[in-house]
Amino acid sequence: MDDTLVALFLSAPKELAGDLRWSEYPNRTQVGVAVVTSDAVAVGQTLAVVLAVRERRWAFKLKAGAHRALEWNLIPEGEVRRHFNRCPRPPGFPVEDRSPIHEHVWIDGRKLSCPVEGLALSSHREVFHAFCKRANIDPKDAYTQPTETQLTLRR
Amino acid sequence: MISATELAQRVSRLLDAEVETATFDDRISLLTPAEYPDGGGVVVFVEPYGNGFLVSDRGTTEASLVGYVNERRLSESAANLAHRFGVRFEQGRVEATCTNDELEETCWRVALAAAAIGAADAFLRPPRSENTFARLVADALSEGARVERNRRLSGASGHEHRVSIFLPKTHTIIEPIGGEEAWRTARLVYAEFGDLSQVNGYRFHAVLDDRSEPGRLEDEERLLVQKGQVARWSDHGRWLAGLVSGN
Repeated sequence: MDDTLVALFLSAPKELAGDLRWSEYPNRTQVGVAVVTSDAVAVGQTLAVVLAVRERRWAFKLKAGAHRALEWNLIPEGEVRRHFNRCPRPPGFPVEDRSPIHEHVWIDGRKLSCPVEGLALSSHREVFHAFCKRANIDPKDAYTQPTETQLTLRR
Repeated sequence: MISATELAQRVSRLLDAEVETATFDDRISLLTPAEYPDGGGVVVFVEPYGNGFLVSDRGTTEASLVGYVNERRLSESAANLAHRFGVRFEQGRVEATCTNDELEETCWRVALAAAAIGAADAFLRPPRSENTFARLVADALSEGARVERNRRLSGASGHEHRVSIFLPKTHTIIEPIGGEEAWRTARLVYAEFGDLSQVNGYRFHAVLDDRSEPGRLEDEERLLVQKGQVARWSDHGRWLAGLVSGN
C-alpha cells in the first residue's frame, strides 16, 4: 500500500468491534484477532501474536484490508536482534535497529524498523492499549488475555 | 552444554563473519549473518538435546508471517524449503538436531532455511485483492439490481462452478479479474464461461481491475473476449448502468 494511504489509514479515527478472540497455532503460538472499524465500516484487522514458549515475545499487527500498516514487536531485554533499514530511510529510522521493543512500518514496500520507548515493564494489556493509541484505534473493552501462560526465562 | 562464547567462535570461524550470542537459562540465542528479505537478522536458538543439540528458530519465523500469508500453504512450502537445507519445519518451527561436531553448520543451515521461509510472504500472500475487487463490483451493481454472490451453476461438463457475481433477473454472470494471480483467474474464468455457455443463455461479463494501472491486463482481456464481454473498471461509468438494467 502506498505510504500516503498508510499514513491516512493510521491517522483516521478507528475502533475495535468485539473482543480480541484468541486461537491456537502450532508451536504454542497464540493469535488474537479483532476487527477494526471506522464509522461502523470494517476497514482492517488488528492481531496480537504471542509465543508461549518465549518470554515477552509479543507482536501486535494492524492490517488495512490485506495490507500491512503497522507492527510492534517485543522480545526479551538482552536478546540479540538486528534489522537493517534499507535506503532511502525517512528521518527517525536508523541504519540498523537493535531495539528489543520496536515498530515496523512499510514505506514503498520496504519494512522499516525503529525503537519504541517506555514499554519495557508494561504488561501485555498495556502494550496492546499503547499500540491502539499509536494507531488511533479506540480499543473499547476489546482486550482479552491470551489463554496460555508464557514461559519465563532466567539470565 | 557449549558456552555462548565458544559457539560464537565456532560459527564465526565457519562463516568468516562476526556473530553475536546471548544466554538465557541453558539456551543460547545466536544472531547470524543470514537475513530475512525484510532486512531482519535471523536468530537461531541452541539448546541441549540428548547427547547433542537442538537448533531451531523457536517459531519466530512463522510468528512473523502470521496474518500475512496463507497458513496452510506456508506449512507445506516451509516443509519443502526446510528439507532442501537438510532441516525440518515442524509445528511451526524450523529445527534440526545435531552432534557437537555438526553444531556450527547446523546453526547456519537452520538460519538459511528460516531466511528462505521468511521470504514466503512474497509468494504466499492470500489473494485477497480479487475478493476486495469482487466486493467493490458487487456493491456497485447491487445499487440497481439483485446480486447473488458465489452462486453455484452446473456446466455442460457436469462440473459445478461457483460464479463470483450473478444477476438472476438477466442471467448475467460477472467475474472480476485482478490481483497478483490475474492470469490464473482469467484462465479459470475462460473455462467457466466456456462450460456454462453450453447449458443456458447466460450472459458473460468479465470486469478487469485496472485501478492501479490503466491499460494493464491486456492478455487477460484478449483471452476472455473470446468467451464474453470484457469491461475495465476505470470505464464503469459507461457500462455499469447497462449491465444493471440488462440492456
